[in-house]
Amino acid sequence: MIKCDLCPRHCQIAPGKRGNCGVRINLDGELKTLVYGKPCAVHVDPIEKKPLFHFLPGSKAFSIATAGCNLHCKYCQNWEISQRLPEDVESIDMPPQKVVDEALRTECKSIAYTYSDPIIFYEYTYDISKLAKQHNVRNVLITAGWIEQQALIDLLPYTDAIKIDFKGITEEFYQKMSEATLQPVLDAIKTIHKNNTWLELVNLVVPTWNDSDADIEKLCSWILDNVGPNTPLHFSKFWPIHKLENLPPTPVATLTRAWEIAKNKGLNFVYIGNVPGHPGNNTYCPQCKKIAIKREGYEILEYNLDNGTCKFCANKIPGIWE
Amino acid sequence: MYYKKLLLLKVLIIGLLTGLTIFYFHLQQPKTQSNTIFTKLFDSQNHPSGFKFYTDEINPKILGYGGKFRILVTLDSDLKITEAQLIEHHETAAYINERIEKFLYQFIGKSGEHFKIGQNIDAMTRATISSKAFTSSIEQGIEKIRQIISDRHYFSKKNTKKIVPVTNYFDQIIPFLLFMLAILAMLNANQILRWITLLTSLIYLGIIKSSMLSIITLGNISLGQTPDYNLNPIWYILMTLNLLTLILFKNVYCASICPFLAVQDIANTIRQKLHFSSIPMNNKLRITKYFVLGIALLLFIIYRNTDAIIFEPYVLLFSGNPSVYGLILLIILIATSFFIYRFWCKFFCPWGALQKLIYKLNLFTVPAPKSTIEEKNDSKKIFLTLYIITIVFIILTIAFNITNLKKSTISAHSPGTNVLMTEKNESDKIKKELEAKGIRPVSAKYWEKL
Repeated sequence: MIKCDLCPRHCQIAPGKRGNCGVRINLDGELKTLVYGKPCAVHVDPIEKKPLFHFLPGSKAFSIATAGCNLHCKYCQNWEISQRLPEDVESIDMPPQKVVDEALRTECKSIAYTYSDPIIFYEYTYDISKLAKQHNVRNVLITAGWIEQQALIDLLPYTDAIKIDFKGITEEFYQKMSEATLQPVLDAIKTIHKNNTWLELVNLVVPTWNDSDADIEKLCSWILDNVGPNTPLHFSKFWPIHKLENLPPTPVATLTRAWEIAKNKGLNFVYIGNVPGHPGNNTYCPQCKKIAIKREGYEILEYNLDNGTCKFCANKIPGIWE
Repeated sequence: MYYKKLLLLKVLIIGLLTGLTIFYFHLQQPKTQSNTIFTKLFDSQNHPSGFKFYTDEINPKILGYGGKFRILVTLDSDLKITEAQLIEHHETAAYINERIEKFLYQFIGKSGEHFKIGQNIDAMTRATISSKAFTSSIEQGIEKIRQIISDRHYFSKKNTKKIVPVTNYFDQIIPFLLFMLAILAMLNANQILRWITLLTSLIYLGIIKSSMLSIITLGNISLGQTPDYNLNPIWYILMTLNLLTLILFKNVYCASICPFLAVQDIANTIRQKLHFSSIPMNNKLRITKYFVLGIALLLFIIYRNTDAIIFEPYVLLFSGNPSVYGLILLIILIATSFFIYRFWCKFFCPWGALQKLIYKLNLFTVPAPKSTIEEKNDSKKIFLTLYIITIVFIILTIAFNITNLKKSTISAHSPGTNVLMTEKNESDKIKKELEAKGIRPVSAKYWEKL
């Protein structure tokens, strides 16, 4: 029997069997990964799509993912790859060097480990990250953050930015929605912040699940108390999919209300994702309140920063701009 | 005419059984060796770090006392043994269980030398044959790997160092002599010769070698587990000569060779010398032994484990680790043999029942008129009581064996064994399935063995 210590689930895996994520297997007395070098999703996306608004804005991210995930969220947008076994998806051969080469070839400034969750293709992520760093390509993790501390700490030296899905603020939510727990995510957020790795948070607002004022306020309080007002927080609109097709999509009004609560609480960089035209798309300078970056969807319409400082009032805006 | 027809029938049956047996053994031959008789090991930086092999894959012909066994041997890149683990065996669990760890520990750190029991390797107590078999298979395994990785010309026989277990001539001659003596004794009705045979058998077959015929033997044969001739020639000689004498002569084994017979006859002689009278028997109950045989075989078919059917006194006395019930049964049988002549043999012995059945195929017997054993009209109450007590304890012994079956099977293996057994069979299957789908497992991080 083997105990996997990569994520808080700590699966105890019998010989020949796999962990809960479906991609780590106990073979010949060793734990092996079945997705190394076999991504099933490879795209070039704007970095804003992740969403990362304070990291190399306007740049392209070479995005890859393999099958599997250690969470099983009812609303998963990528369930067709995340809730599948590696043999049930179409994947291509892409050893780490090839990933880096392709990223360079497509003029991507960063490699994004996304769609499913880089945690479950950890070894692949790690090797690519190490290689990418040597070639001056940045590494961005798009993850739920449900990872064991040691694995996270070992990956941070090669990671340039992380976007964590801060899905909810109660254990109950994480259990019911994602078959996971809250605390390890909180610990991961704190560790990343302590390590000074660039961090942005996303909260998917799901009607009747976590859309109440109390939920939003509690979430924002935690962020303020633990990582401060300068960590960007994105509120995302939920679309009925996978196991929650019976719910309505999040009304814009709900998102706007969440946005306002967060700003009132003191968070400086609050965004509304996937609602074109909303003022929540823009970055506002916390000092002079002017629009530092104007966005329409994933496109940048105005860029009023100079080396990360507001052109209007010279206030330094946190982020990685170059 | 009737006699001739009967003879012909007997010959036919013997021929048929012989043919079936040969066919059965042919089927039991180990399957052709797979190409991967050992595995190369690599460390986390993908540098070669050693080898590992299963003894029965690299040397399928080396068998232990009870048949096939499997030891997992791990070597470093200098072919030094870093680990040796017993995975599966059919030896006498009681002897192997407690001693195997210490025994295998002797091999760790050793490499390239010739292992000799008594010199650089200590055998497991009362498990010499097992010890020799294990040692030989480990040594030959390493040698094979050495040849394969060092010789360019794998098939060249120049550097072949063949290590063949030495045939023990002593063990081949004495059982043969025993039968010859016994036959002579029967032909001449010579009591002195018979006693010499009996006592020699008691000491040699019983005490020294713990090698006798019993229904356990039947069980082993049906499981296809026959020992290696070089390691255990006595087994083969006893079986063959016993069969031959049964078919061509008389039941020599039961009359003069069985080691427990020696015990019973000694007891009987003591009774005569002390002028005790024997207890009158109910001869109709002689049929019980056929039932014992039938039920024992049935139990064996159900449990497929010879440990379930250990209850015969010669097994308990000479080669078993008797449980409490077995011990009491043994005492009862020895005690009763002082008062009832060949109590076990006549009424309970399943092997004796089998011998009698095979004897019906004897080619030289003349059908005898139905014997009228005069039954004395004395009270058989004492006999019945002893009879019932014996049956009770046979049942208790077997029941106890069966309840301990699962426990002993687990403890017979080293810890983590079942894991490795499933693993070996299943992981190859899984790896092939994954490969067919284009998936290649790669070492992962952040895990621990439990």
